Amino acid sequence: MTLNEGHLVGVVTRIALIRSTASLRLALVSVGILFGLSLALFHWVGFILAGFTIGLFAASVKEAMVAALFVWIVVLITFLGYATWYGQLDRVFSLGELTFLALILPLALIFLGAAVRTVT
Amino acid sequence: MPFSLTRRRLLAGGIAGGLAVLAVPSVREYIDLLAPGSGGVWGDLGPAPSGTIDGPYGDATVRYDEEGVPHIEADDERALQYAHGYVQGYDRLFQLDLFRRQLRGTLSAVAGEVTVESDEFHRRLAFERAAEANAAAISRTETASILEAYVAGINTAKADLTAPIETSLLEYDIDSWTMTDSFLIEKLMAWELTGSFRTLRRAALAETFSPSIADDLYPSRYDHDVPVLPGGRDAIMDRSSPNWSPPPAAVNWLSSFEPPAGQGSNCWVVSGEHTASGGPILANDPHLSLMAPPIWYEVSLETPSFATRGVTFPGTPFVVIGRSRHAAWGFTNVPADVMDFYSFEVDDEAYRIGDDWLAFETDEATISVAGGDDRTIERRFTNHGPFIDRHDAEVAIQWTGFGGTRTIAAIRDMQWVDGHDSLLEAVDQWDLPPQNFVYADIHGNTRYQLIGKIPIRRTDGEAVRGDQLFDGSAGVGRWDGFEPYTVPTWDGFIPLDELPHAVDPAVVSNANQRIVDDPLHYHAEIHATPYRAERLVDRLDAAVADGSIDIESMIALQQDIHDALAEAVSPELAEMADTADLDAVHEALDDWDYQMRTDAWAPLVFELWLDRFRTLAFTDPLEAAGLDDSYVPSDWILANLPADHDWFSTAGDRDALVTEALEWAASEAAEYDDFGSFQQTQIDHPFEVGFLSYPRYPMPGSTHTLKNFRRDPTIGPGWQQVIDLGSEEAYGRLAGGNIGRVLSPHYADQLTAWIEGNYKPLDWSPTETRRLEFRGTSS
Repeated sequence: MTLNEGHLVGVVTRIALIRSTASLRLALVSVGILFGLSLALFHWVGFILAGFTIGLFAASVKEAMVAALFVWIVVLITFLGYATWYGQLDRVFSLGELTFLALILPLALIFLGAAVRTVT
Repeated sequence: MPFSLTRRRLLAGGIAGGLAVLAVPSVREYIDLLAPGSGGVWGDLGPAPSGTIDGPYGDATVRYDEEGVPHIEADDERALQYAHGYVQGYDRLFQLDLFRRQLRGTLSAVAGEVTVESDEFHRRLAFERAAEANAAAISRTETASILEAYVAGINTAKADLTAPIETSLLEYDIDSWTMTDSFLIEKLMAWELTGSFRTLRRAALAETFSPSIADDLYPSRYDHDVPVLPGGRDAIMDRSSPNWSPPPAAVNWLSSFEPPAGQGSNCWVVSGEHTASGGPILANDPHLSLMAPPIWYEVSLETPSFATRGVTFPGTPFVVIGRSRHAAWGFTNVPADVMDFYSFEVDDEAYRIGDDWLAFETDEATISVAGGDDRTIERRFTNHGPFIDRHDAEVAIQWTGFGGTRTIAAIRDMQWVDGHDSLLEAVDQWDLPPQNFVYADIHGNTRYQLIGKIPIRRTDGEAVRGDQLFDGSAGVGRWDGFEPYTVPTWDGFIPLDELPHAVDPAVVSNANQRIVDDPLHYHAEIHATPYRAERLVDRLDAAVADGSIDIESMIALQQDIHDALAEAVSPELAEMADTADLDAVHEALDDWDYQMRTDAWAPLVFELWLDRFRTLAFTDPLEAAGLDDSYVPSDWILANLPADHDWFSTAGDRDALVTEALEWAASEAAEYDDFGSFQQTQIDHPFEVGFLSYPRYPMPGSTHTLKNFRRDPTIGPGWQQVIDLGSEEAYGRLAGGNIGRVLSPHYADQLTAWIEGNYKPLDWSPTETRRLEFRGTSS
């Protein structure tokens, strides 16, 4: 076993520990989502990062997918709620296909990040 | 396990594929645009600017009303205009940049190949040099210092606030605004109202067909009896036939940069002796291009020394059309002849004037092209202006707009006008574009005045008409007191008191028709067809007779949709439809009241017939001769050119063409439910993409109705106002929305009310929905 392989085993072991510890898992996923969504205010990579955190620490693939869907719904509610609050909802929907694409886009990016659960 | 490993490899490949897609530049560009939170499209999502901001020129308060109209107050005019610049710099920033790029000839730097020809035209005419001459014309005046503050406000907004969505789409940053840029906007509006190559087209028509055909298709006046000011003066000099012509291809090219045909306006004033309130009522609705956002910007400005409310152009700091506390004013276009064309004997680098050979002033201009190769053009200038040598043309263009004009000072001085004397002082500075100006005040004064500088062309000391092509080498058609790209003295131009005017008229109205039958000076090649004017005069006369003139009746008059052209030709059409066994068409036209209603079928048939007959009788034969559709004569000619005219030996038998157009209209009309399903608003953003353009709605009216609407290009009353100086009530409506940010609730919030003719009060005290405070940072 090389030094790098040793580190890798250590990382995998720690991730497995986090995945099996509900409170720790919840805390890290929450922090990751918050950080990712905050970053998404400035760059869309934040959506991938939020999804990646979910995928990395979720207990199962199913849990990762459900959590990713939940985060997307939170993004939708926040985005549309914000537009509603400032009286811009009808203007947002006046953009038609662009708005539809914009609403689907976070789903795709979050799921892309969360898909890491399927290979780890 | 082998299966699990394979599945994981497949999934890992899927993730890698997904990431690889994100690495594709065009995909990343879309995500950069659309991602919620960071996407460029969403920059305006959330609160519009509000709160407290530094005000380097002093305190000012901006209160936005329920329709996104800023009401700006300050003790100092510079502080006021800094705040005004700031709000325009947010509300209309992209439009400002678009307009200046058009006139500077720098559109291609952001739009690419598609605008190269436009850039070349605007570079060759050197509008930016003309705008610089404007700056020289008002330098060291108070107006210049006010404009400086306004420009600073635009630049602060540009630096501090979110960029418009359009710049995200085109991926560029907007440069700082300058005083010259504001003058470019003035030049743009002047070009929109006076830029005309009709003289060249008439010459090309004469060359291609015959001088008599050219004269009849392009007459110098329409035979009607509703001039603005009835009664004549001295007879004007005769018209001459063209003696040379640039190649049609060159005229086609130049004509493609003309403003769209059909721009005009309605304006009238009724004195207090005929109104319910006992004070004058003034109404005005200018018909310019309709676009999203509108060409007009609604604003209210107030200092202790004046208050104005109305509309201005983005890039212009003062109210152009509107009201003050004690007066109201409005305009229609004349349209004056302020552009002449000169041929020269040319020898490489020089052109001859009399016995002298003068070197062309030359330079090179480089047109940057986004995604393409830059173009460099050599520009040549004569003492009469830019020398155009495209498509084998060799013609110099002289336009009053190439001089330094002071119109902005006139607009500013309107803020204080309170009677005839101060009015004349203000409008004497109005150099361009010449306008029919209508005025009324709370003291009961009313006035009609043609304003603007119009040249008296001289050949051997004698005044000559301007609708001819001049031999520049022979020194004919000279304008005294004018040199392009400098500040003119205007010595050889028509003095203000020799332009048509009426002091305290009881009723005066204007719909761009002929002003007087025999003007003292030549001032226009042709005025508008009289269809709107006839209707306006008839209805105003009737209203005066029955004493029913108040705000409501004048708004109703602006909304009138009676088509006088339809009234003139429909009986003949109905008869020919009967002969052609087009029973439904015959019945519809026979029973029609000539109202261009959206829920009716007859106006649909009529408009379809008109379009088709115009094509068959004019567009097609002109195109067959190599002349584009800019040569198509007016609808007056279409309706009145006799069947035995020489033209129809070229175009075909008139009656056969009328019938063919009727048959086509009957067939085409079956595709629509009614006129409203055919004629829709179609008010688009310059990008012509759906989400930036206004939604379509059925639109009543036509190009010949007072409620004016042209489908293509879209033209209409972008601003409507009716002001009663007796009751001091005022009502108006903007076509679209005041804030040009697509996510703003005020992007299109006035549109349906505008279509319905539902006006709003133009109050001084708004219901505040948002506030900006500018706090002075220096004395």
